[in-house]
Amino acid sequence: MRLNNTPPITINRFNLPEAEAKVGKAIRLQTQPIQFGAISPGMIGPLINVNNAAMSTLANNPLISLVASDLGGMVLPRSTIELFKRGPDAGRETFLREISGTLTNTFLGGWLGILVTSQLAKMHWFNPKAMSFKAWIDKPTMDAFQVVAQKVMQNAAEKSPQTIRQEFLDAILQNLQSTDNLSKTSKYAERLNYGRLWDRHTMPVGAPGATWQDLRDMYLRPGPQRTFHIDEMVENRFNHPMYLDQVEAAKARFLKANGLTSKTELTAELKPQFETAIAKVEQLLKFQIRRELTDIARMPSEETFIKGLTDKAAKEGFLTSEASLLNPFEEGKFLIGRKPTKDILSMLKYYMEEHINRALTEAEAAIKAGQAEGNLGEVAYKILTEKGFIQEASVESKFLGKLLGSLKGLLRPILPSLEDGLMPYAIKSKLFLTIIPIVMAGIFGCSMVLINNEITRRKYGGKTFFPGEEALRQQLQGESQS
Amino acid sequence: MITPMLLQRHIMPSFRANQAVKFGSMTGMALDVLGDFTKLGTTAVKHNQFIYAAVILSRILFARSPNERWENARRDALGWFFWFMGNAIVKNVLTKVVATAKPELGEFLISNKDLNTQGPLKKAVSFLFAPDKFMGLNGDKQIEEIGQSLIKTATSPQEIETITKLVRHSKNVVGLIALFGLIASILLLGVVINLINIAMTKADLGKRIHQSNQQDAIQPEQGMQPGINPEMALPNANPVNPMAQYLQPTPQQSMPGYNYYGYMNPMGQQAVNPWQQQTSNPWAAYQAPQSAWGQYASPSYSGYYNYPGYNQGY
Repeated sequence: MRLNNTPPITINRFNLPEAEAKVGKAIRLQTQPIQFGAISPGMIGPLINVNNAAMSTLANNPLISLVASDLGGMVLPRSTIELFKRGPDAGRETFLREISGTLTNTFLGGWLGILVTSQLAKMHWFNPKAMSFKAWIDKPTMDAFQVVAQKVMQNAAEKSPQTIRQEFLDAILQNLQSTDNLSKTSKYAERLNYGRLWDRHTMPVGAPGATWQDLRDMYLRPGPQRTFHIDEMVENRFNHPMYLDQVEAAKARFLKANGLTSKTELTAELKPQFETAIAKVEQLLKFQIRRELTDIARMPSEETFIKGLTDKAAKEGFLTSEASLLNPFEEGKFLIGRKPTKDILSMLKYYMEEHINRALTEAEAAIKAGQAEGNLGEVAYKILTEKGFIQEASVESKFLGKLLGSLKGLLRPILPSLEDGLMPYAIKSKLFLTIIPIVMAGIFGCSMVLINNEITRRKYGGKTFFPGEEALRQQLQGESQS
Repeated sequence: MITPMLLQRHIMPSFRANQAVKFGSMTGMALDVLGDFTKLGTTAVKHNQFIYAAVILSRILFARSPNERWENARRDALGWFFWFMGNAIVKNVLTKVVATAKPELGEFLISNKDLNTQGPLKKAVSFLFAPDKFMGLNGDKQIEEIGQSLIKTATSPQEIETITKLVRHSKNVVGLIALFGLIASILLLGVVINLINIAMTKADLGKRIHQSNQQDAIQPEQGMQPGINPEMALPNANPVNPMAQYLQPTPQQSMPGYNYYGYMNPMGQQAVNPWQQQTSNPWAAYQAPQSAWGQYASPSYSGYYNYPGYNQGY
């Protein structure tokens, strides 16, 4: 049985001369794929294989695992026992209680999260930076990446954007380490390259090699699917006549509303109003363009790209499916404790897209425009983390503007705003996008208790009682009679 | 050893420590407690735990009788613990047993613990929210990958054979332990806890009825009229065995919530036999005036106290 889509492994592809030299004789080549099936013969072997496959699915999918244990361990046995031991009312109540629990406890929060995010991400008042929340990075990982970004960016040396990107990626990729113990034992450490992404062809063993460089190049390779240059693409697309016409139309509307024509010169009083109004229109248009570009760019190649990264890390490097991130700047310390390698690599991609690249692009523009001073890395780090470093015109939606205006004072500390650095902006947004659905799911779960009680109450003409207890009382009565 | 989180706070001016962006203490706490989705659309286990805990509290709060409240507390509190942690604990114990008995397998089965958790408090939090990670066990996928890596660098066919065997054994052990953990959780959560609940509620009801019988048996010796109160006795009370009226309920009397000790209305007037005053709502005579939600807020307004033993002085 082939597991995890592992391709055939043959030892003749690797280190054969070296291995023969070690043992002092010719080695028989293993050309068949190594398959780790059950070793028990007869009927038990296939059963063990089936069990391994089922348990592997559960272990690698926490939600499926929770649902399986909930359905198998709570919904079915509890409903059945209640039905036969305490009657149909108790059985019905138990089934409704448990099945709603399965839905609420495992799925509802996530579903509501997708719903809330998909709606809020489109709203300019909530997401003025047009950040893609599909590029989701959990907070501990973001904290870890920030530590590395700070070291790389806050540096006196003047660096090009590409150098900063390379150094950032190197610091992460070289310090990923498999969580297994075997690669740290004296017996296997060298053979497994300490569970690092280092290439096994590299000599001496234990030094960075070709694999991490390949991975880094995959991240750095320009292309729309990487969205590295999306901010430049926004500017380019904005110069399309379709968008410029909209700006011209906005200008005409403003002039018409003030009883002017295009040939009339604006008064000193109207000029700032005119500029602010047009700046708002331009910003809204750019918001839309950026959102469209990020969505288009991500869709087709996302999974393939991340799978390519993960496969390369596991098959050519020595990472396994779970990895830690060592602190590149402090020996023996960890930045990420234990996480699926695929998640770390995909979040690294998102962090590059939504944080590092945006910060670098904005920093370059800010330095060119004379809005910021200092070297590129330092300015980019400020854009990444600080609030109000570069002031941008605030744009509010027509419909929610008034409402938000009144709530602004209250929500200001927690609502993401244009003035926020990219990372605080992401964290604030995520706080909303997580807590709202979780609380909604909790309220739904709690209300199910009342609904369940109400169903029984109505069935019995308004009498409130616990059917399980009543059934037992009747049983006791029956026993006393007999 | 300083943890990464502390490292960040002390050495790196993170955005939370950044002067320009201030999160209030409540915001910071919310971030730490609820955090965020690990991935969009996938609730993290701690969210599942939080939602389930809220649901448990509501079940306990809105229980319709003390026995239901106790049943909820036993079933759901244990359910919460074993649902999220039971499997992990069973897996951990069994894996450690196998690893001790067969150290060569143990090398494949045990992994680094979550290295972000140093110190007793963080260990406790990690155990609470991510017991699987805290335990430090390799998954079957990881074992497979380690095996493939070792085979890549094997220097002899014998070594390939040995590694293949070890990997197969390890994967089988992981699968069987996971199956055992799952079965244990299912049995405990679905069957054992439920049966315990039923038994305890039954015992409580039996005890109350027994106490009621004893009380009724004492009262005639004190020269009192059999039964709780002559005014409350049902018209068909049996003078020889006063409990007979309770032990032989009519079909209507066995309806839920019926007070088979008789009913004294709130004005203290003579008891009413509801079965002689049938209306369209047979319960109307028993119901105290109540608001639409009042019945949930306090069991004192519910029909529960019309049950034997709850308004009859024992």
